[in-house]
Amino acid sequence: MPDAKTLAWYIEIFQQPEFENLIFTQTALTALGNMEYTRTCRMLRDIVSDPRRHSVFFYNEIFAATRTLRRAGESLVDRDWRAHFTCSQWYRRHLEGQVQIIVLADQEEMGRYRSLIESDETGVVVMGVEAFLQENFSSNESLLDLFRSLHEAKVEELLTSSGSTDHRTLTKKAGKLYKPYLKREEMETLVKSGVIYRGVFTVRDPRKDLVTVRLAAEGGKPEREVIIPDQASRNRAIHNDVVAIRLIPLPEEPGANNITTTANALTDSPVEERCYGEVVGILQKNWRLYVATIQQEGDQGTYHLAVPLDSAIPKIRIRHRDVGKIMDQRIVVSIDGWREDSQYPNGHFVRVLGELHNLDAEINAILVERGIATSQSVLTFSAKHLEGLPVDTPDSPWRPTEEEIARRRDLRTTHTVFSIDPPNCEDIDDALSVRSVDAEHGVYELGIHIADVSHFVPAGSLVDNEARARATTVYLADRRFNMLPEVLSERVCSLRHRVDRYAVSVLCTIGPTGEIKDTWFGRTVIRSCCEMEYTQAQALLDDHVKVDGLDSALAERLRPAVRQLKELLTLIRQRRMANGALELDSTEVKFQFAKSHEIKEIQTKETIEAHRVVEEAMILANNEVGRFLYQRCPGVALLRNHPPPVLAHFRRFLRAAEAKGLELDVSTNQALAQSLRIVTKLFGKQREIIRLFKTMATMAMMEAGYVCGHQLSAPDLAHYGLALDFYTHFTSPIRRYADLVVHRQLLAAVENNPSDAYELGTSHSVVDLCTHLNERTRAAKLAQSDSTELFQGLYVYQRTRDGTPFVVEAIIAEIQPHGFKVWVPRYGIQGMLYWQTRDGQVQVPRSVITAQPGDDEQWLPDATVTSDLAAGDSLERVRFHLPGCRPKVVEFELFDRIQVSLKVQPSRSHRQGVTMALIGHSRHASQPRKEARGKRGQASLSSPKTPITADAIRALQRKGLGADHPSGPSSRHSQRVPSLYEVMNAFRQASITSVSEKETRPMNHTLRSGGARTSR
Amino acid sequence: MSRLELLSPEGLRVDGRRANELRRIACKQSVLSDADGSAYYEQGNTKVLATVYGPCEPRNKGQALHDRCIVHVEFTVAPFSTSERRQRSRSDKRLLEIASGIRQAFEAVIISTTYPRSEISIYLHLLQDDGGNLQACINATTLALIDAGIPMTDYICACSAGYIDETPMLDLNHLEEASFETPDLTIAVLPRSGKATLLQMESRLPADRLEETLHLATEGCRQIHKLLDAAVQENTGELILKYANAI
Repeated sequence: MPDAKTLAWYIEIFQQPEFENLIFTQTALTALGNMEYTRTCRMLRDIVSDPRRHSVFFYNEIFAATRTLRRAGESLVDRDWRAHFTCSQWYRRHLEGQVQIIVLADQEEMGRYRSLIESDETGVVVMGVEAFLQENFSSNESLLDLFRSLHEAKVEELLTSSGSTDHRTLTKKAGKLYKPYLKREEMETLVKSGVIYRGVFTVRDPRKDLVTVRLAAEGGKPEREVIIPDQASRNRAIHNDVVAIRLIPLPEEPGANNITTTANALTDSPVEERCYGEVVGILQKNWRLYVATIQQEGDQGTYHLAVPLDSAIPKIRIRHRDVGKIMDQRIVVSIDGWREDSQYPNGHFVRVLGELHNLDAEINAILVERGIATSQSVLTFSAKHLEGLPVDTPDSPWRPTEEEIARRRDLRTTHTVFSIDPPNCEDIDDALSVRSVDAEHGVYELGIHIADVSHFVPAGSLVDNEARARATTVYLADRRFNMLPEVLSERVCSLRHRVDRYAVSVLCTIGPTGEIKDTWFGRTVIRSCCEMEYTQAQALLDDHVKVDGLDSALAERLRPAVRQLKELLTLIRQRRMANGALELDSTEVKFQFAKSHEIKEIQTKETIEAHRVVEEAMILANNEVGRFLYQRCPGVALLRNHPPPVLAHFRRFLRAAEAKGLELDVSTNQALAQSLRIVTKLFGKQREIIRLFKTMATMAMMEAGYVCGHQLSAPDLAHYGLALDFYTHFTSPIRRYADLVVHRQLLAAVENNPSDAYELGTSHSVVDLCTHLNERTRAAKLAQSDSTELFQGLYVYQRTRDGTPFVVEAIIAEIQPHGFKVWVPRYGIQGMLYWQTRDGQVQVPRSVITAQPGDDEQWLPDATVTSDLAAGDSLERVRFHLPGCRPKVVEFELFDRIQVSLKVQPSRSHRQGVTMALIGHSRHASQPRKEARGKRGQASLSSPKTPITADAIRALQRKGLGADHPSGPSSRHSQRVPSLYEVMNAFRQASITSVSEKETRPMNHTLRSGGARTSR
Repeated sequence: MSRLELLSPEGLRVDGRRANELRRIACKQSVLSDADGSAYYEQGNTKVLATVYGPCEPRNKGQALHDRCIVHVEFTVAPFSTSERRQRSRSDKRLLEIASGIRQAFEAVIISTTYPRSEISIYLHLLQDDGGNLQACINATTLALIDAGIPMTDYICACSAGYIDETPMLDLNHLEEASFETPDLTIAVLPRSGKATLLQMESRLPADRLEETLHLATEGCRQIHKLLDAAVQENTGELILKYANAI
C-alpha cells in the first residue's frame, strides 16, 4: 500500500510488472488529484485495470470501518496519512492477519508518524521504498537502477523548489529561456472565451522543423492548422501534448522566410490562410517512456543528454552516475519536467534495452516505442498461464470429449471441410465447406467454420486476461508475439486436418443469384480433410490435373467443392461491388530468411484468385454475424465500422488524377469504386501506377475501428470500404481478441441462456473494450511497419556494405517544392528525394546526366529549378536547368519511372533508415516523348552495360566502407551474403565510429546530408 | 481532469453510492402542531417541509366546485437552501411548474368528492437543495396529507433517475443533475396499482434507454414506499399509544 507521496515520486517503480497485489487508497488518489498529478492518476488506473496485476482501488473514505474524520488542529496531510494507515490496519484485520500488509512511505513521514506506527497492534509493516526493494528485489539490478535514478530526480527537484544555493550551481545559466505558462484556471477561461485556442502539439517533420497545432473546427470556422515557428514559441511543449496557443503575427526575422517555405511543403492550407501561434500553456501532458541513446560528448559529468529514437522528441537531460554502463546501449528514459531556464527537459533513466543496433535491442525498442511491452521476454507465456489449459503432445494428443460432442452439431461426416491458408501456417482459424441443398433450384449451403477458442478460454480466466491485454498477435517481420499460448493457437484450437476439432460454424444457405436465404450459427465439431495452400487451391481452380502436394483422389474430391465455392463467392462479391465496395490493396512486403537470420529476399505480396475467394467467405461470415448480433443485442454488440472519409482529404488523389488528365468523382463509395475502375482500365498494364492511385485513395480514408452497437445509430455502423451494413470481426479468434468476444456474444445470443448474460458484457464494458482494442491494434500495426522499415534498412545495408551501389527503379509518387516523394514498388520502400536544401540551395546530382551511380553526390554547379505551379501545391512536373551541361534541361513528371540508388544512413541514435539518391530517368522509361525532349544524350551516356565501373569501385573503396570489409574486391562479386548478425555488428561499429570521428565519415551520405557538408 | 468524473471505473458515484442506490431517507410526520397535517422529509441533503391545511372553505369562493374539493399547492424555496443565497420570486416559473405538477399528481389520488365546495392547501418549503426537489416534495406531501387525515386511494411515491456514462443512475444529487446534459427523469407512482401519476424528464435520453431508466426509477419508488409506510405506521402507533395513555 504505497502512500500518496511515494506514488507521486516513484510511480514508475510500481508500473513495473514485478509489482503485484497493490492496494491504492482513495485517500492517496484524491491527494494526487489535488496535487494535479493527473498523469500519475492515469497510470494508477492503468495498473488497476490490468487484470494481470491483481491490484485494486480501495474506497476507504466512504467505508464505515475505515472512515477517518479530521481531528481539531490536525493538518490535512496528517489526516490523510492517518486515513491511509487506518485502511491498512483494517485490511490486516480483515484478512485475519494472514497476509502481510506493507505500507510504503517516505523516510521523513515514517519519522513524523512514529507514534502512530508504533501504536499499531495489527502488525502492519511500514517501510521506505528503498528498504522494500533491497529486501525483495535485491538481485533485480534494473529495478534498483530505476529507483536510484528516480531518487536522484526527486532530490534534484526538491533542491530546485527549495531554491537553495546548490540549485544555482546545478543550473549555470540564470537567464530564463522560456516564458512562464499561464495558470490553469486562466487558460480554461481564455479557451472558453476564444482568446486562446486548444489543440494537439504535433511535430510534423522534425528534420524540417515544422510544428503545427491543429485546431478543431468550431463556431463555423473550419479545422485549421497553426504553425508554431520557433523554439521560444514552442515553449517546452512536447510532441502530442494538448496545448493552449495564442495567435501571433508572422515573426519578421531572418529565417522566417525559410519557415514559410518549409510550411509550404508540408501543410495543406493555402498561404493566405496560414496562421502562426505560440504556446502559452500545456493543458494535458502526454508524456510516455521514450527509447533513447546517450549522446557522446567529451565532458563526463553527472548530466548527460539522451537522444530519443523518435526524432519528434527533444533531447532529454538525464542524470546517471556511471554513464559508461549505458553509453552504447538503447535505454528507456522518462521526462520529469522542463524548467523555464533549461534548454532541454529533465528526465531520468529507466532501464537498458540492449546494445546499440543489436537486433533484439532494436526489436525491444520498437515494442517500447509503440507501448506494446517493456521487452520481448514479457511476451512469453509463463507456466502459470498454461495451468488448466488442455494438453496436446505427440504422445497424448488432445481429443474432444463425448459429452461435448453430444452438445454440438456433428459435421464430421456430413460436411467436407477444408482450409486454405498460406504455406506452413500453424494457426488455422478458419475452414470452409460447401454442399448442395437443393440441386434443382441451385441452392447451396456454404459453411464457414471458425476455431472455437472461447470454449478453451473462459471469460475472466488468466489466459483471457492476458489475451485481452495483448488484444492481438503482433506480427513483426521476422517474429511474432502470440496472443494465446502455442498449445491453443497452434494445436488444440488450430483446425488441422484429419483430427476432430471444436468449431463455431456459420452455415449460409445461398440461392442461385447469390442471395442469402438463411443463416445458422452454432457450436459444431468438425474434421478438416485437407490443409490446402493458396497455390494448391488456385491449381484446383485452374483445372490443373495434377496438384503439387495433394493426393490425386483427394484433389478430385475437393475440386468440385472449391469450384463451387468460387462460383458462389464470386456472385456475392459482385453484389457487394455493385453496392460500392472498394478494391484496395496495400503493398505488404514479406521477408524471406535464409538460415541463420539472413534476409534472402524481399517480396511484395501478390493477390491471386484463391485469396479473394477465402477473403470473401470471411467477409460474408463477419457480415452475417455482425447483423445477427445487432439484431439480438444492439446495446452490447461489438461491431466494426468504417466511417465515410472527409472529402477534402481526397485532394491529393484528385490532383494526381488531374495531372493525368482525369476528372474523377469521389463523392460516395460507389463513385469512388467507379473512379478506381476507370484508373485501372486506363493504366492497364502499369500496375504500379494503379497501386499508387489506390494507395492515395486509402490514405484519404478514415481508419476502421471497433464500436459498441449503441454508440452509433444503425446507418453509421456501416462499413464504407466493404459497403456492408454491419461488420464485425469473427473469423480469427486465435489472433484477435475482438473475435473472441464476438464469439462469446454470438454463442450467448444463439443459446439464449440467461446465465450467459455475463458473456454479453455491459454496454459500458464493451465501449471500454473497443477503445482498448482500437488502441492496441493500431500499436501493433505501427510496430509491424517499424519492423519492416528496420529490415528494409538491413537488407539495403546487406546489399551495399561491400560498396556495390544498389540501384532500383522507382516511381515519383508526388512532387513537392523541395523534392520528390518516391516509391520503390519492388521492395515497398517509400522515401523523399530532396533537390533543395533547407537554406534554399538547389542540388542536382551529376548522375542525372551521366546516369552513373557513383555520381549521385556530386552536385552540378549553378543548377536551377523551375516548376509549373505556384508554391504550396503538389506539382505536376519539375524542370532542372543545368547550364554548361548536356542536356541543358532535364524534366521529371509525376509518375515518371526513375532510377534511384538505395543507401543506408548511418546513425547512432536513430533507426538506420533507407535513404535514396537520384540517378536519373529509368532507362526503360515508358514515355519516349521525354527522351526526345531534353534528354537526348542519355542513351549514349547510360550505355555501359555494367552499372559500376572500375573507377567507381575504387573511389568507393577509398571512401571507407570497403576498407573495413575484411575480404578484398575479389570476393565482392561472390554471391556470399553476410548473415544478419554479422551485418548488424559491422553496422554498429561503422556507425559508432562515424559519429565519433566526424572527419573520416564513411561514404553513406544521402543527398541531403552530403549537401549540408558542402555548404558548411 | 477537465470533466468531473461522475462514475468511477469501480462503479462508485461522487458521493460514494453505487448507481442503483438511494440516498439516506429520513422523515417524520406531525412536526408542526398548528397545521392540520405536516411532514419533514430528508433525502440525502435535500430537505423539505410540507404542511397541509384543510379541507376548509376556499379562500377564493369563485373557484369552489360544487361536487368536489380543489387542491391548492404552493412551493417556496428558502433563500438559504443553495450555496448562493438567492431570493426567488413567487412567480418563478420553475416553482410554479413544480407546484402544478404536484397538484395534478395529487388530484388523482385524493378522494375529492368527500369534500365538495372546499379546498385543501398544501405548502411546501424547500429548506436545502441537493437535487431531486420534485421527488422530495411529492414524498413529503404524501406524508403530510396522510397526517392531515385526508382520504386518498393510495400513497404517491416519487423517485428520480438519470443516465450518466451509459449507466442508469438512481436518485441524482445536485452535482449529478447540474452536470452538462444529464438526462433527469422523475416518476411518481401509486405503489399498490403500479400506475404512474407523474412523469417528467429534462434533457435528452436515447429512446432505447428510457425503459431501463424508468424501470430503475420505479424500483426506487417501491423502496421509498416501504420507508414512507414504515414512518406512517410508526407515527400512527405513537398516536394510538398517546390516546391510550390519555384514556
